[in-house]
Amino acid sequence: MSAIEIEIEAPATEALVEVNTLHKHFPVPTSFLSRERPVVHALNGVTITVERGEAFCVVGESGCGKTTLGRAIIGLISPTEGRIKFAGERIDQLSDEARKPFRQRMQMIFQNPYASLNPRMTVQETLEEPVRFHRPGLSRDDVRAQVDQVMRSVGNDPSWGRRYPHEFSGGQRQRISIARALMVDPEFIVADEPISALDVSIQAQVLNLMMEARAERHLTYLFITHDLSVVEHFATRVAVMYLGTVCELAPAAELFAHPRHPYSQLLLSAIPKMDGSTVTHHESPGEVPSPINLPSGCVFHGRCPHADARCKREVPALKQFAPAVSVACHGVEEGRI
Amino acid sequence: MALLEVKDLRVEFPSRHGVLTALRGVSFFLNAGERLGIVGESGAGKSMAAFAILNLVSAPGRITAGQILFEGRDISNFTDTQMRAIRGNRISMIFQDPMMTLNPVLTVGVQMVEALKAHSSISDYEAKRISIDKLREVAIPSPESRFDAYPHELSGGLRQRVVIAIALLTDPAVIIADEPTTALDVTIQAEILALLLELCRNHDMGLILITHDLAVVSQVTQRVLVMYAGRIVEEGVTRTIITDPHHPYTHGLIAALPQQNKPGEPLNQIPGTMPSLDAVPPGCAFHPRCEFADSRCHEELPELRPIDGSGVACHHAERLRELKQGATE
Amino acid sequence: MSAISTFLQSDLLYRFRRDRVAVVSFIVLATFVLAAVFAPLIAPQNPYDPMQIDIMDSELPPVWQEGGDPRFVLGTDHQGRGMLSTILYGMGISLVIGVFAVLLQAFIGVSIGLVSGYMGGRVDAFFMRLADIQLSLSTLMVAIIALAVFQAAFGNELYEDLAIIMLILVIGIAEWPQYARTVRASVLAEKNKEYVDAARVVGLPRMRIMARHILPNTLSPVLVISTVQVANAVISEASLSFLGLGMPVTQPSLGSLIHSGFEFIFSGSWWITMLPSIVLIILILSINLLGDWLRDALNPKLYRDE
Repeated sequence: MSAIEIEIEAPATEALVEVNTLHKHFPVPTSFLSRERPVVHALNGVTITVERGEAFCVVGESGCGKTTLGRAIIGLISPTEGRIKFAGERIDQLSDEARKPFRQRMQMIFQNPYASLNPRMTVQETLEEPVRFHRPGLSRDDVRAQVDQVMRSVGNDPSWGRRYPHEFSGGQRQRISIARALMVDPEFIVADEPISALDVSIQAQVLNLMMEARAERHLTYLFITHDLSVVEHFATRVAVMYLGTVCELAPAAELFAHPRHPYSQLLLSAIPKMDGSTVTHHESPGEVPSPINLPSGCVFHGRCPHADARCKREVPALKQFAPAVSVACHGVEEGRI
Repeated sequence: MALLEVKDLRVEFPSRHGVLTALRGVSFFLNAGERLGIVGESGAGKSMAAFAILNLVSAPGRITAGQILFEGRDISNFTDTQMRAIRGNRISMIFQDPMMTLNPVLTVGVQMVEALKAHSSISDYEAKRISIDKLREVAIPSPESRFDAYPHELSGGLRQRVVIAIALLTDPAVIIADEPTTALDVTIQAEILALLLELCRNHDMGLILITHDLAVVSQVTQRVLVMYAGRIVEEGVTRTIITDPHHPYTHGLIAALPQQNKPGEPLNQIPGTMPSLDAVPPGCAFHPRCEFADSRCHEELPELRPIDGSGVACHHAERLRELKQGATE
Repeated sequence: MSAISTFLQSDLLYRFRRDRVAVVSFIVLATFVLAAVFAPLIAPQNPYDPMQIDIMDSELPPVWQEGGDPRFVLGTDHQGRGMLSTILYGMGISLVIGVFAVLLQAFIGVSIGLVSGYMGGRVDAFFMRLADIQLSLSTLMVAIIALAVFQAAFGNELYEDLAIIMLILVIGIAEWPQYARTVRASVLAEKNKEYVDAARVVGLPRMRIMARHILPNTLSPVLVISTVQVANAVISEASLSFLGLGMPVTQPSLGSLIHSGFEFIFSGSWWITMLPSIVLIILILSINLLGDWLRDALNPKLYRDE
């Protein structure tokens, strides 16, 4: 199989997905009598643009809001504030009916292979459903041919169609989920931790599959993950998130070579390396503060070795530093870091 | 004499499909204060090996052959009463998900004191003092107040520290850690691993670290076993195994990691999947996925043999070595 | 064909065959059901045909006791009807009421539970409060009131004709909250699973997701409680009949047989009330044991998938 070269720095093309100052708050269920109404601030003013053809990665630890962002973009949850546009058209306020044409252009791959397929439907039924729904005019044979074609293209045996999800391993189920996403021939795919639940050797298979699909079908990916080694390999651009805010936005190679935001630096230094070096001991355990009571000012100031008074007061804005690199940090802006 | 020695361990499960063998003759040893890693994918048997040491294999599975020598005595057929003196006392175990390990309706303090009093008759006051000391040792801030906290009041990282503290209470000779950081964020993972490393050094405690993450193993352990389909396929000094693997499976596993591949290029992948317990092929279990496999691999089960200081269970390890040497020239 | 062969090779059947209690219960239950279904063919006489009954045959003991008559293996009741025949017919009526009442409960309960669980919010709150109110009123109490009123209002003759339907309606409507709650709990669990999200991302409308995706995955618990509910329905009917509010004397179920035979226990004709009681107990027991086994058999399977 010949190597498929994918351009790492895609030339500037149209913006496919635009997210503008997105906020999402979830009320925390409390008792009827309690006076407080705590709110989980999952997203706090996120602005990103995904360009056509790129593999945009959103990376961060648990509670950073990356999954919420993905779900908001794909339309599973509606934002509290802010705008989401797809190919120039606003989609966050659409009714179900008006959203339908967009559904065919944007699809999602989920994290848990054991829960993302309906256990009571055969693989064939699961794959046929999106096609039948979006193209009701197709004949039964055409639908079946389409299912066959997509299955083969992801390396699945078409005979799997008659079987039920529980007969397959995690990796195989994930490949079926990918086939389902590709059935309607979308332009854009949100992949929420698609390989985290898989074994290491299967991760490579599925990742390769996704890269191939991207090349063959000219797909654009929003890839959500916490695994930085995958990001380094797969991404064109990366957004690092912490507590619902974007800390740094940069091309992958640039981020790994010169992380600018203190959180990006912490994250990269924490990746276990295979060079035989041992783990360094950190002085005090860093804890991610709760998204219910957001820290004032910069959300990272509690763990940041460079935080000063301004950081505690003022929320830093995402500012551009170098071509294609944006950082939300007072210290970087002031030249302190 | 090794602190812990496992010889030819076999664990079998009777099922409606016949007898499933989860461990097919596993042998390894652990010296006092040594850090050993067991690496493999799900279904390889690494957790099973750990459970078997502590006689925690759930029925209907059972140890059908082999010996487990701890401090010179064979504990594989100890009664439950005898095992209780060892479990949580001389050999402790920590698991992947701290929320499952800790009882959500009891405070941290109650659980720690309970663990201490199960193995020695000390006063409540003394038990509390020791517990708070241990909490401090695992770098939990304000240990006195955390002593009275409930598990859900603590973050994931703190909970795992509590679990480690509980494992340390009786100053065990060995800690077995089964995927202790898999459920944690990467920054917390780094801290927990550093903590484990320091504790092992300070207490001269042995560690068996079970994980699927080769990078984790390379940072924490001195020696490593690579398991596949219930057998050890390669073992040796961690540094050597990671930089110069001799078994095609180990080699493939490392080559498949994104950090070993050029960005944008397809990853080197191992075709196929690990066989499930009821479908283990004869001979070498890896042969259907191996580029070096021949008829001998179909028929003959390879035993571990020494190659360049590592133990390798492969008939064609020399060919792989030649290939790698050829590639570097 | 493939569905049958899948079933024959399934884990469920394998575990069934290995559990002796389940197998015995199933055989007993199947025997009873078949006997009730074929009652008109196998009963020695039709106890509801006045032509076949002779009052001179009344209160004959079972054949193994002194004074027994080989024509009536289990003896006769105070009207001269053979016990075996009345029990066979009675069992049939008990089972019909049990099964149909449960079908009605299930239909109402599953629909409400599905809508309530999926929609959430006010719809959910409304239906669940309704269910709470319904549950706080005991079925028996509601049934007694409803049936007594019906009997008084429409007179005995009309009552006799409609008794079976009335019982099915009353027991059916009274017990829907059981199903609604069970289904709602399943729906809440399934709703958050990613395959539902995937269906939403495809753009499928809500009704379709509820019916095609969520409903089939909530049916296991429904099956489990159905067995117990059938048993409960039979007992409810038996209790009502014992109190005189259930099936009329001319169309007795097991419960009303027990009721009408009760006074004769003191005069020594114990078999008139005891034999239907024993049959009722065995019937309920086998349904319950089968239900217990089913609950355990279906449960670990849910975990195995994960």
